[in-house]
Amino acid sequence: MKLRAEVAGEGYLVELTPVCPAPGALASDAGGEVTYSLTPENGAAENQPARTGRVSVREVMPGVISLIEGDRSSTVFLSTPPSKSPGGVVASIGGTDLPVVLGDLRDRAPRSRDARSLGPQEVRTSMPGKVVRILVARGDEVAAGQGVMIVEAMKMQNELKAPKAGRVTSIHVAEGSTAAAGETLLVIE
Amino acid sequence: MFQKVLIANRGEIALRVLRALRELGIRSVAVYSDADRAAPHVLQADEAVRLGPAPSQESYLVTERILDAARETGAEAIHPGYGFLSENAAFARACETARVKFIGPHWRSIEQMGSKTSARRVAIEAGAPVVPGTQQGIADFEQARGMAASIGYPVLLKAAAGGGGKGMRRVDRETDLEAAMRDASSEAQRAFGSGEVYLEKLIERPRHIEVQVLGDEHGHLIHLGERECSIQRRHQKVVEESPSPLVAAQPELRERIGNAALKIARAANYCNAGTLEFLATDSGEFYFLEMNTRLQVEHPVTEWVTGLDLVHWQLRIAAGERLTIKQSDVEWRGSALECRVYAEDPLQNFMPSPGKIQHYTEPSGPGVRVDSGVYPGFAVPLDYDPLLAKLSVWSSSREESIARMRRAVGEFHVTGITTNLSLFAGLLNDAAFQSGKLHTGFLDDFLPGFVARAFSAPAADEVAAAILAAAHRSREQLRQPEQTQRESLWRAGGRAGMLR
Repeated sequence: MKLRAEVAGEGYLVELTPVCPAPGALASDAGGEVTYSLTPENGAAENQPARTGRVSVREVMPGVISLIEGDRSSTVFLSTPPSKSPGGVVASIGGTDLPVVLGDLRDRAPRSRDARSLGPQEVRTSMPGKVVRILVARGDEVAAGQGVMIVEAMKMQNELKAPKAGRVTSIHVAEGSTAAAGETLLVIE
Repeated sequence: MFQKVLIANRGEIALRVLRALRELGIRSVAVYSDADRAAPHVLQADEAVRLGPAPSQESYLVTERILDAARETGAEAIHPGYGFLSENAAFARACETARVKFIGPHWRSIEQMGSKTSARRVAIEAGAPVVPGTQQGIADFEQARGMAASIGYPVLLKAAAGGGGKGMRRVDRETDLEAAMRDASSEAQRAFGSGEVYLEKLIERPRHIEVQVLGDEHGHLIHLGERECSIQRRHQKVVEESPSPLVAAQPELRERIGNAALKIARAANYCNAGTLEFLATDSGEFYFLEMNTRLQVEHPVTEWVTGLDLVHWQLRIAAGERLTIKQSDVEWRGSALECRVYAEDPLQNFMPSPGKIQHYTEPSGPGVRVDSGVYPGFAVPLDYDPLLAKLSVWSSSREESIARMRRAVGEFHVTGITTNLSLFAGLLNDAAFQSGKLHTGFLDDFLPGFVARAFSAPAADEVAAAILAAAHRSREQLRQPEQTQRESLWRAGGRAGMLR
């Protein structure tokens, strides 16, 4: 099967081919072996090379996926994000949380010269709060991790940071307004 | 000993007390707000009484409701935990009037040690060191010059009428003092309507070191050594340990600071468990800050290194028993660390992250203790402190404890909400943390680099694993829709055909 995956705003073309299970094994298991290939959409970057491999996959508990590739074992915990982004899951692996969106090949985003700016990323608030200050304007270039907005929630002022480097394409709230949990406040592309 | 005790708290500390009650064969009464109907302390208690709606002002902070619950259930004593009513002298006094034993110090001690200025006075009278300086305004430059010369530079000028950094000036040399006083005073005048400033010694890069004391109601009082809590953010402790790396380097410090703590506690006629907080310098000077007249969040590290159960002793002391441990009986073994696991996002300025927990696995194995108040499927309420769990470890040395904690943090998996576990992973790998060179500004120095690293591109292996896992899951969901139809990852069923 061929599909498109977006991980932390970066697009990948994915091809998966199930390896036929050995006779008598795996028929009812939630798992099996697959060969795969992953190709970054914007060309292989230094830290994200195209790769192929063969991996044993099994869902050992709901949302807990065990992967064994060669002799390397890893466990991925999948969860649905608190704010409902369509089709997305959060994959937690080794203490890192990666948002993953799967789709078919038609979802492929237009190519961009700057790989890091691919795919819009939304800045949301995880809890209801008041927008105290907006630190950027539409059209501003921001760095990953740069503060973009201050939201007061539970009597504490919290600075929301840019999830990626890029340009602020839209701001959906005004200073002094109230934001609901999960509401999109600002989009960086 | 009591037959039945009410726990006037929630979360992990309510469970901690409940466990002690069960171990001592005492029946437990939980109280709860509407937000906590399904909380673990309610599920595990022998009896449970509803207090009211979710806001703590209408539930956990309502003295009358709690005393009513004690009367209804026949509880003879109330354990207040920490936070909520635990340091409220009026509540302790109301318990006394209602003839329900308050498990903690006498309300007079709470009153005396509850205010910083009154506690400072007690400490000075007891002959314990406090941060040198004045608490009243300075009359003129000459007085300021004399005082600064006697306590030594650098000094800090502070507005007498307020806080928050307004009217505050650091002064390193006498030649700068006059101008700094003028600036601080005019700034204070503008901010607070009073130009009065006072002066105290500036303790640079201090450590936060605190001493646990335990006393019975018959005048016997001991200290159980120190905990270092320098890893903190906005005065909120994040990592605690015992022994303090400073005490490990200067062993005689434990006795000196322990004796200072005992002097102050004795002067306040203190009984039951309490903690005296100090600022300490790397050269081994220390200054009393304030006292917490209750059980501390971080008491497990003291329990690890002393082998004593503080909550058992709190109950026995409150029941009138004698503390049978002499100061010379107290022994400290090994090294303990505690990490406070909060529902908050260290990458978004520690924004609280309440919500429903999806997957939850706690670490276990040798030398690991978890005090938690949640379970998978539990919705972390918005209304209270976002502490999910305290993860503490013990090993024979600090180095081994750090390695053990790193292992335990790696076994702790929470999904559905964001936690600060990734912060601990980063901190435990940090060379400065490992070397024990701690100070209260440590975390503020550490965070920018940590956040920058976290926002850098994920490793290729992690990306591949994330994609393979997500693709597998969605394929299984298509194959077995009846079991996992809850949320298909696919936007439209029509697309399913081409993916098989």
